[in-house]
Amino acid sequence: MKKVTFYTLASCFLIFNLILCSVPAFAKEKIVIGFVPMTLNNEYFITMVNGARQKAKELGVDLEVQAADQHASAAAQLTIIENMITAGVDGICIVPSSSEGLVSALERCKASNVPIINLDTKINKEVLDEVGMEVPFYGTDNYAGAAEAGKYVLKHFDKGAKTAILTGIKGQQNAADRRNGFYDQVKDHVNVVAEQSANWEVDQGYTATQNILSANPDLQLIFASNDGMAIGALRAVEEAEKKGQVKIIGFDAISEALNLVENGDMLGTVAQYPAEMGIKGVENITKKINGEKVEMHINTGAKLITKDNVKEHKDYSKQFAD
Amino acid sequence: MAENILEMKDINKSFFGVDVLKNAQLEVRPGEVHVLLGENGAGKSTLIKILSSAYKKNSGRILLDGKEVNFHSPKEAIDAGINVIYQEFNLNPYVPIYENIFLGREFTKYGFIDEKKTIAEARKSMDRIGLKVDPKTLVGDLSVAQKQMVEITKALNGELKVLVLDEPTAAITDTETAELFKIVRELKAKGVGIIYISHRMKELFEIGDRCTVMRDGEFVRTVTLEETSEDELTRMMVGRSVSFEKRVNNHIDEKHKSLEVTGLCYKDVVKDVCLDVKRGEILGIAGLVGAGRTELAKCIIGAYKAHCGTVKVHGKELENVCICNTIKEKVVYLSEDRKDEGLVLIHGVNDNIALPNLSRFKKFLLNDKKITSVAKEYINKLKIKTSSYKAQANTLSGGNQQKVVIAKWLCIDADVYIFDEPTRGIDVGARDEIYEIMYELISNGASIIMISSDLVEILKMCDRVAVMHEGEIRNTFVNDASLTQEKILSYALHGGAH
Amino acid sequence: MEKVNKTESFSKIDIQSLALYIGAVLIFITFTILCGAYGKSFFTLDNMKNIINQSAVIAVIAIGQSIVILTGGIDLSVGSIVGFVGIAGGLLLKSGMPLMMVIGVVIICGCIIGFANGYFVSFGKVPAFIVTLGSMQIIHGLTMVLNTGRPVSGFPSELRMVVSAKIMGIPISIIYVFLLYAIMITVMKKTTLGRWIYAIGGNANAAKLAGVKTKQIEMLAYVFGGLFASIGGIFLLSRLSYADPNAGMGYELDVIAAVVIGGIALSGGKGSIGNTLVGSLILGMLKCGLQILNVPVYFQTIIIGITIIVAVYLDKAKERKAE
Repeated sequence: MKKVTFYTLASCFLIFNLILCSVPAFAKEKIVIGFVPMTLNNEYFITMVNGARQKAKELGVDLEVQAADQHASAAAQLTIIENMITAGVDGICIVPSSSEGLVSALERCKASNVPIINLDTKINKEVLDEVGMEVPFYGTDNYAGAAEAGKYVLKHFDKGAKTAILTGIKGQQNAADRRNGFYDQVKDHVNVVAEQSANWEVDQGYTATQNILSANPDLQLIFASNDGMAIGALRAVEEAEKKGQVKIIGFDAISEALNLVENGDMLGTVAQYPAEMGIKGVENITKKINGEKVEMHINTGAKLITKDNVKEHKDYSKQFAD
Repeated sequence: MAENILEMKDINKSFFGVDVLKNAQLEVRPGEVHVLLGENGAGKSTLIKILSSAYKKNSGRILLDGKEVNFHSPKEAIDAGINVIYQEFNLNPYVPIYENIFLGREFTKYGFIDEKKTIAEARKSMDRIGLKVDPKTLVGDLSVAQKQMVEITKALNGELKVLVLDEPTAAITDTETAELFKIVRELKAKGVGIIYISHRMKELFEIGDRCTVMRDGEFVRTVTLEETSEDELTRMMVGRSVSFEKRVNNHIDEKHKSLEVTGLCYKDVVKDVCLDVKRGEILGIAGLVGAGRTELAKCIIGAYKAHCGTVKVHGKELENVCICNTIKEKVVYLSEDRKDEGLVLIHGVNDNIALPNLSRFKKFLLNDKKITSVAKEYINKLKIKTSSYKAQANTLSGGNQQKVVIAKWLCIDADVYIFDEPTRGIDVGARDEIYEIMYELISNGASIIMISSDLVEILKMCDRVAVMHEGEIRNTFVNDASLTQEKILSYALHGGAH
Repeated sequence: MEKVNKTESFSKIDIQSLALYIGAVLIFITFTILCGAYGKSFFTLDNMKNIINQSAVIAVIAIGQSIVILTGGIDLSVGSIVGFVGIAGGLLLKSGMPLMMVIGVVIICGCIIGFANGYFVSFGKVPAFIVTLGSMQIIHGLTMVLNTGRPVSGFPSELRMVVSAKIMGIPISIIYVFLLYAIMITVMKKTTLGRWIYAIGGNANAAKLAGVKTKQIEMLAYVFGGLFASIGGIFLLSRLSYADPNAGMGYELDVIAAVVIGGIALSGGKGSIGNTLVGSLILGMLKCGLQILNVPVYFQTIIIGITIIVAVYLDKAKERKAE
């Protein structure tokens, strides 16, 4: 019996020493901002968080970053927001897991008077109306970003070029926006022979592309709605030995994709400026906490990165890398 | 060289605060077959497990060749030359014999297993003890005796100083036993010290040299077998003498048939069986293992669905023979396999007793107090040795586990009890207590069907004996002075056709 | 005699449970102290409600999972049932069906799924892991098909009231959790059904020979699994007021973690459902406390992983000692 108690005690202390090591020092008087990306397992959000951290340091405010461990989910974000409110944050910047999923979380913020800024993925107007809140949105338009890629294709590809589109998870707003942004530009110019969802995943992009290639051996262009799927597609194209024939455009401009663009494996990738969102988010939520007025909408911009401007973009990104 | 190849001195061991071994002693000389005798729960298995380092001792010393040893794992014990062959073999049934024999000592060539050499070596060592099967045979396809030989082969492969055989003849035939004894004698000649555990008295005198008797975890005495007798050994084991006389049963009600079975068939293991048992009667069912006795019992209670035949209880035919119905009709079956079918080993004694009787303790919700008091009542009545009424069943010894199985069915107050091998693996003292319980049952008007391979027990207990052979009842004898073991055996072995 | 009774009543709480309770209390105290040291509040009434609220979904699903695991099985489909209940219930609500009826319908759906699982496990003799692994995929696929993978939102506010309403200041979800646990603890401890479930997990052969209809009871356990998963699904739907087809993904593992932390053996037959609640609360407390302390998310998963192993390690102390 004594032994059991001893073990329990010992293991608890072990656990909590771990916690102590990982908790950054904290002083109460400072402004504390909660920052909730969808997840922390992809470069896009890590860059955003790094931008936010730099700005927070500059402004002398504290930043608490929490995200779901694997999948972005409304349930996990609600829990995080509840706990942040308990922990006493003064304001929250959030990338919602979906456009409609945050009703309950927003209610909690409203009830506790915690201001919110919406980044990257826009919260639906109906949701905001239902809660009765006005929330500033800073981010890019995925539709406009994808349209950049479409415009490039109009200029550089022949009419009727056989094209495949890899889309993200069905039902997600950003997946639809990216697809439509591209499609609406090119639909009268190229010949879209295949369109498949690869759920944002590298491996699914790879298998989907294999299937598309065997059905359409003379494919010329693949537009992948994120770089992960683009990289998967590239592997499949390489395996089929069609690298010269099939060009690939990705989205997100993650560092791996930028390297691939630089040595010519990928045609291009659409860059958004997640760090910019983080910076603007932290800057403005601080203003809001201090009672100043903030802008309701900021477009952080999007650009297609190709071999011509990849160097320049890499230099810019470097400052937000880990 | 020391006089004793192995000495175990003042070994103490307790589980959950219950002393299982109290200053146990054992001395084995090289080239001797040393019998370890004691009732179940006397601490034999524990002592052996401490020797093989499967358990850690609380205190005491073990000397091998006069030097004190302290093993930390069973492997160290094996490396030092102590090998134990348990009743449940430590063989992997899904791989061939040769892999089993050389498990952990594989021959390799360039880092890969050299299969050819392994097989050749396996064949060599199998030949040495006369095991004539292809080393590539899967162990699962072997007979019990053959598996035992594989175990011995495995043991002989390393340096062997002490070999422990735990009930080696419990499940093998007479000819196989003779084979085994031949090997044991050869090992003896080589100077191996052999510890031999068995309940079969005749065997002990045939193969054993000396005998250490244990009782209640304590050392009783070490005797030379030539200078003692069965009766004396039994007395030492139980602390009193035991009788083998048939008792007169005057409780039989000739007119009332409690259970009547006609024309029962199941697959090809039960063929057109008819039997009946009267109120107050004990009907024995004898026969070899595999004659279909257990299957017959399970058909009667409805655990197996019989293809044809009827079961009548108190003259009334059962329409749907299934377990819940037969239990309602108060016909119950006590499995031969306590661990797999009799008890929920990880549950308490009280829960085990209550399991088939739950409806008795229920108004709307179960009444725990009542369950407890009934459990305690049976623990006292059947003298079940347990640390508490809710101790887990697997902490009890075999005999006491069997009593728990009996208690759970006694509690139902059944009319017909089918005991399947009620005393298998149970020591003499507990055996007698179980016989007493059976007498008490019939004197209260119950009927008993007793399936047993132990002919002594059959002759001692039963009023009539049905002998099964290959699924059929070949003859039913009235147990009077003219009935002998030989007569039953001739029917059991070849259906009586000489 | 009196003395004996005293020791008996004292030993009603076995060592394993005691270690669990001590562990839970220690985690609680440590969080209180640590949060205090960092100037944050952990031990407040609001946060206690918060923790139970956040754990409610897992805790409720874990009731069903406990029952399944007690029979020696496992139910991997519970997470996908949560997603299914969300989308199916959401669509029905949108189509104008009254809330109570929607709840009834999705609970019946959950039971039917559990019934199918149970049928294949007990009568079909297919291992539970495989049956429920398969049904997990099937149900997730069905959920996607139902609304072509899109989420459902824009529900009337009465939906949120299902779990967020308050009775005398206590969130009703907390009352549900305790009520459901009270009922099921009674069923498991005090009815023949409960005893039979334990007996099947302990030794199915012995239970069968004792007259227990093992197959039917085993199947029933999976019906419970589906039932409580669908109740959990309703909780989540109501809590978020938003239905996501991917909701509940991975919940099966959280739920199994809660069950094993609570000390129910995966081999079945042993453990108490009440402790599953403690297990769920320990998980909820860890997640909440670590987030309040702003521990980075991957350290959180490391700590939760350690907790699971430590809990079972402590649980096995008795067995190790016996060797």
